[in-house]
Amino acid sequence: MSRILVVDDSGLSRRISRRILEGAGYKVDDAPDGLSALERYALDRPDLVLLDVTMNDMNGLEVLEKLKTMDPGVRVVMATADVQSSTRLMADSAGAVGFVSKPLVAETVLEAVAHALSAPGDRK
Amino acid sequence: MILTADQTDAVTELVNIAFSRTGASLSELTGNRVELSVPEVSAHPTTELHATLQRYVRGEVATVHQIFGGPVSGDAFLLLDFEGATRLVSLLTDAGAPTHQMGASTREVLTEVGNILLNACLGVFGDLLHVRFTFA
Repeated sequence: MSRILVVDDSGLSRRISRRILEGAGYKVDDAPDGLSALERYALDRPDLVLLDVTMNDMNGLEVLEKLKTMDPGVRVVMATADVQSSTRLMADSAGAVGFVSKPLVAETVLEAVAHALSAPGDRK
Repeated sequence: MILTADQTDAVTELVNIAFSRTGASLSELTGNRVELSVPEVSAHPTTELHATLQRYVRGEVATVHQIFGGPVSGDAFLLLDFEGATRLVSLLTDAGAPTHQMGASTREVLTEVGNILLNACLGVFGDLLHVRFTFA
C-alpha cells in the first residue's frame, strides 16, 4: 500500500488525517513542521505528501517549492482552510496535484489522494 | 482558565479554520488577497484585556458586536483599529483615500461587513461543533 507523509502543525489535524488514511489502508508518517517534513521526505521518499498551507516558520507553499527542488516528481496534495481562489492558483502553479479544504472530510481526502497517486509522476 | 497543550492545539486549529474561511469571505468582498498567519490562542481575565489588546491596537478602535444564541451562546466582537476600519470601508465602497471621519455611512458599511465576517466565523464553529447558532 502507498506511503503518505502528513505535514501539519496541528496535532489534531495530523490525528484526523492519520485516522482517515490508515482507515483506508495507507501507511502514514507525519511531520509537525516544514523542516522535519523535508528531512522525512529525503529519508523515506513517500509516495505522496498531504501538506498543510498555513504553518509557522515555513508555510506549505514554501515547503512545496523545496520538495519540488528535491524531487520534481513529488506528489503533493495541499490541505487548507484557506479557500481563496488565489491560494489554489498558487498551489497549482507550484506543482500541487490536489487540493482539499479543511475541515477534512474522509471521502474528499481519499478521493484527492487516490487521484494524486494515479497521476503520472517523474520520481527520481 | 488554563488550557492543556492538546486543548490549545485543538482550539487553535478550530480558530485557524474559522479565520481562514472568514479571510476568504473578506477576499471575496474586497477583491484582494488576504494573507493569514497561524492564530495564537490565549485566555485572559477581562480585567487584563485592556493591557493585552494594547499589544495589537492603540488609540481609537471600531467594533462590531454580534450576539449569538443556541446550545452555545455568547458575544462576538470584531475589533479594528481606526485606520484599518476606514481602509476596509474604502476598499468596499471605492470611496478613494480613507478619511479620518467615521460617519453614518461608514458605520453602516462596517456593521454590514462585520456581520458577514462574524457570521462566517461563527458558522464554521457551528459546523465543526455540530451546533446551530441563532443570531440577534
